[in-house]
Amino acid sequence: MTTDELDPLIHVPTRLKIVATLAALPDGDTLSFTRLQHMIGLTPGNLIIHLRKLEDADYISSTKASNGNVSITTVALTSHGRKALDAYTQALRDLLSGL
Amino acid sequence: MSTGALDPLIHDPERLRIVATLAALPDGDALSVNRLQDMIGLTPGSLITGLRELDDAGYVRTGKTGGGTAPAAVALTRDGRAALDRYTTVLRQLPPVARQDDQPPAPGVRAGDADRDAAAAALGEHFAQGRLTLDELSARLDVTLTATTHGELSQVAQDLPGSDGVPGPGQLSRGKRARPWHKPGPAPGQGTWQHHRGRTPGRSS
Repeated sequence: MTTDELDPLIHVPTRLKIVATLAALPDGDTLSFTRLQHMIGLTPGNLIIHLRKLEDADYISSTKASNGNVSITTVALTSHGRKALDAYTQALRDLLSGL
Repeated sequence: MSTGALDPLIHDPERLRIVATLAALPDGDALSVNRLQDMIGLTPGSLITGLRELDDAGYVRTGKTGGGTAPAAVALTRDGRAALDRYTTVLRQLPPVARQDDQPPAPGVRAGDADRDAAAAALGEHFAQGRLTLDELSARLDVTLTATTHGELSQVAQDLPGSDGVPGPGQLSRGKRARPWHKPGPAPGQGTWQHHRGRTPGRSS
């Protein structure tokens, strides 16, 4: 088997956690940046960097909504991102098959 | 949550491939390095490097023959197998792989009227049992009845016993007490409605 398919974009532990967390949401749901940050326990700067990488690859989408004087950024997994995660877990499963 | 740490020694894709391949061998079996190389298709250089790092950590045992510097055969140690087990356990705990079914709704999931009513009824019950004062009850009811997500609902009850949907320690509870991104509440008219909802406990028992 060729297992070069461990998508490096997802494989980095922090991004894996981000993607996995977003994937646990029902389809179409979004998570606020703040909430995601608390759930994963990253600094904002760190989280932003990872989110940007994922967004550049179109794995996630982010929306900035301003509501009066407060603006809220929410993020969600795109269908492309969900597919990538599926492929990733499949590759991992193949790799670890029998364990 | 630091329980979720993925062993970096194993997580590296090349080493993961090595360890997984070795783990598939029957216990105590060793594999020749040449054969291993064929199986996973790494260059000799990165294979040797990977093996050395795993060897240093005590995850694999390499046997050398003759005076050569390169190892000839390699096997997973008990430590290595245990480390891999821990690693796969951590992987399984990642949200999409294991959870989903018996989990309370994710905190970001929108709450419906039935959810708000159930949460309010539970608060009434706690008030009836003396866990909350009237003021606390009415403050929490305000939050509950305007909550838009399950996360907000569970935060209201996070210091009360037996409340379902309370997230695991450290997940949410470390967040701010007040709902971090609450806004969709009654903004326009500033309807601080029903500050005296206090008498609801009657509906409980």
